[in-house]
Amino acid sequence: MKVSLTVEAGLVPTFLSLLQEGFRIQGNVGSSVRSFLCEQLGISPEYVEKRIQTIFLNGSAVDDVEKAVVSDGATLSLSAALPGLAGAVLRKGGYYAAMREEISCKGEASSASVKSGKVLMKLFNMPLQELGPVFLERGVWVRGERLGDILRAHADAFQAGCRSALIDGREITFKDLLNRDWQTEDVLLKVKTN
Amino acid sequence: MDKILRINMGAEGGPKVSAVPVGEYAGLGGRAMTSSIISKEVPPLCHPLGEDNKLVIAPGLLSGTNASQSGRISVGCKSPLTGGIKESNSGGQPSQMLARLGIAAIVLEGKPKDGNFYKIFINKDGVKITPDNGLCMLGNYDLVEKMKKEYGDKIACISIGPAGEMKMSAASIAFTDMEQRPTRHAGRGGSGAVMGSKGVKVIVVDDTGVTARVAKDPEALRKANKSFVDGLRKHPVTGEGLPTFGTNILANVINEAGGYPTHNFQWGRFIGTSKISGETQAETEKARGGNPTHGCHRGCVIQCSGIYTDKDGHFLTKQPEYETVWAHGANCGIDNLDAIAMLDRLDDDFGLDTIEMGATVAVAMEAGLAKFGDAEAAIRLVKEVGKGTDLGRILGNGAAVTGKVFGIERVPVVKGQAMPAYDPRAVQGIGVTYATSTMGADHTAGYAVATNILKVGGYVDPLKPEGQADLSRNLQIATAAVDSTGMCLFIAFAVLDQPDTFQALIDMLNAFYGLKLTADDVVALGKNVLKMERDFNTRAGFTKEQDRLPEYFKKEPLPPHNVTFQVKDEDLDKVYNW
Repeated sequence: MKVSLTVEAGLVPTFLSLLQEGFRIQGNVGSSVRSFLCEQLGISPEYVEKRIQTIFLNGSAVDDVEKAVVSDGATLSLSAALPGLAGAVLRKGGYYAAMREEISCKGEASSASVKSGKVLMKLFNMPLQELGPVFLERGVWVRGERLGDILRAHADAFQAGCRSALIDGREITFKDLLNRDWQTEDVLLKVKTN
Repeated sequence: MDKILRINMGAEGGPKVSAVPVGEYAGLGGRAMTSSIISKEVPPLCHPLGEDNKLVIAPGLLSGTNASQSGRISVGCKSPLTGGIKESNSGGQPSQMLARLGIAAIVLEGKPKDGNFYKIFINKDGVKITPDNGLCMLGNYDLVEKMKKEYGDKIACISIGPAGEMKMSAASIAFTDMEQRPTRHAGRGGSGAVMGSKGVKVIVVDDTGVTARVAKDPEALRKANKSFVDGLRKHPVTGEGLPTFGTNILANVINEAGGYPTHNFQWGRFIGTSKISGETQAETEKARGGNPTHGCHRGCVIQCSGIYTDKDGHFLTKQPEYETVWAHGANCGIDNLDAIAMLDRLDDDFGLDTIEMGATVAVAMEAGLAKFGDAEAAIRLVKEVGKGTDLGRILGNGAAVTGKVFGIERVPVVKGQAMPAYDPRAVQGIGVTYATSTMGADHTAGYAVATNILKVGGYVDPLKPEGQADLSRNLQIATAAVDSTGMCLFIAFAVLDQPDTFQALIDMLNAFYGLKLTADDVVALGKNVLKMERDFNTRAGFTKEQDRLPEYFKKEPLPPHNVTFQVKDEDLDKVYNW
């Protein structure tokens, strides 16, 4: 199911909590983290190198974005530089990486073929703010139930600020959207601003 | 800062103050000052609540100047929680004001014979010490309001809440912030109990009529400060991440790493993290008219603090820090930011270390006193502490005591102090610091440092097993040095990446004092501080057996990575080999 919303710009941050919990995107898997982020998702190599300072692949801290491989069903999390000793320790390729050897990503780039698959992405802090709206506009797979939670939690704001709502291309009132029983459906959510 | 105020609370005829020259403590500030005085003057085997212990409050070397980030204050004593030496530090306004009044340290000595509680008022005209039992059992918020009515709205307060009066080992000392709220705390180690044992409820500071301290070379200070501030502003951590999200920016990432201690350190991931993350917290604050970008003292450009309001937009507490959100949140299974904010408010008001209290409540939950996730029950337990009920007195003495009373094995403490918000099984190097720090389990003891410091004294290969001990040692040295300057430790993130920002810090010290310090000298300062602290602890009866994590960290694998603590004891024993 596809849900397409056009909202006032001020409402976009309310969806960002979905992106920190995790959203699925369809893409070609079996390549390196760097290839996935830059070639698949279109994130600039400079942004990946300079801005995304902490990366987790399946919960393991990534040091080498050329070696770590994104496979089907992987979880890939992106963060900017972080404070504290923990932040320094978890940093991609950081001096203190040895202090978390046991949770470091040991992946090697393989010659396994690239094929279509789904990846669970999580965006945190600065990448959440900077990349989040772009992903929302392109479309992200999220649990319908969670979308429903967000809409209900900010019902008044959405009532005022939601310009249009479409489900599978058909217009739906905000009230019907709010009252929908999502059950366990995953939805492809697209959010753009007017 | 040329004088030390020695206040003998047990003098014949009542408390007496002497303003003495700094003497042998000249050139010291912050942690260097507190640890020097404690290690030299306090018998290591004394009772922490007895007359022989001392409470030292010391601004940093650059406090009270125009240097940015210079408002931290250190508190030192023999800790009633660990039994060893303690330095805990805090933000807020008092450091700058005391420094401008020329006070390098306040030393509370002795013990009152009359059972009274006193207030101490310090301004440019001197010091007045008055008994005021009408302040007894006031929470810090009401206490500060009373002091404002009595002394005006230009004051700062250093105070204890009911927890300190009741001499609980988790008691903190509160320092008022720019809005004159008691939201900044020297939390760790029970220094509030020591202040309570000295019979001092509040120290009121008024620096009306004095000006900023003048540097030996004001132009050089101004230039170095500009370079320093530029470095902080351009760094992504100090210039963006921290001012946008506060320290709780760490929650999602530590959780993702599988190192976010959950349900009393049973797991490394918490299912409710996104509901209590820094990202969610900042959005909540903005939506309610709070503010996620705020400094805890004047001159702060990092602005990692914030204002948390309730659903109706009224002030509830300062933006809870990462440690507080974790301790009262994931560690207790609570995923409600409003409940966590209320717990933070209660901790601040009663005068309690939020880390110790969160760890204690989690141990209490494991003991069956409440269910994990029950926020209302957690609030009730902390209120018991504030009231001083029998149960409250147990809880208010920390996780180790609570675990012992209720027969719990999984008590995450080192040297009696509760672990902070990073599981050492996931990030083993942090475990090395928890185990070996002179302070007990302490996440700030081994912070980041400039790469040039790391290479001073020889290069360390971080890939060798013994490399972790060396890394921890170097980090602890650097932290001790930064803690002595009065600078906020968060400057370390910019300093780690930008050697010219670290140089700017040294330049500021040199410009102010007319010195020619180098990075080697800063390292030597840090080493000296650690040596003194280590020596005190040894004389207090500590051996290498206290430099260990609880056994269960070596045996219980931590999900999701299913790792145990692997660093060998003999490597832990190498940390202080230099």
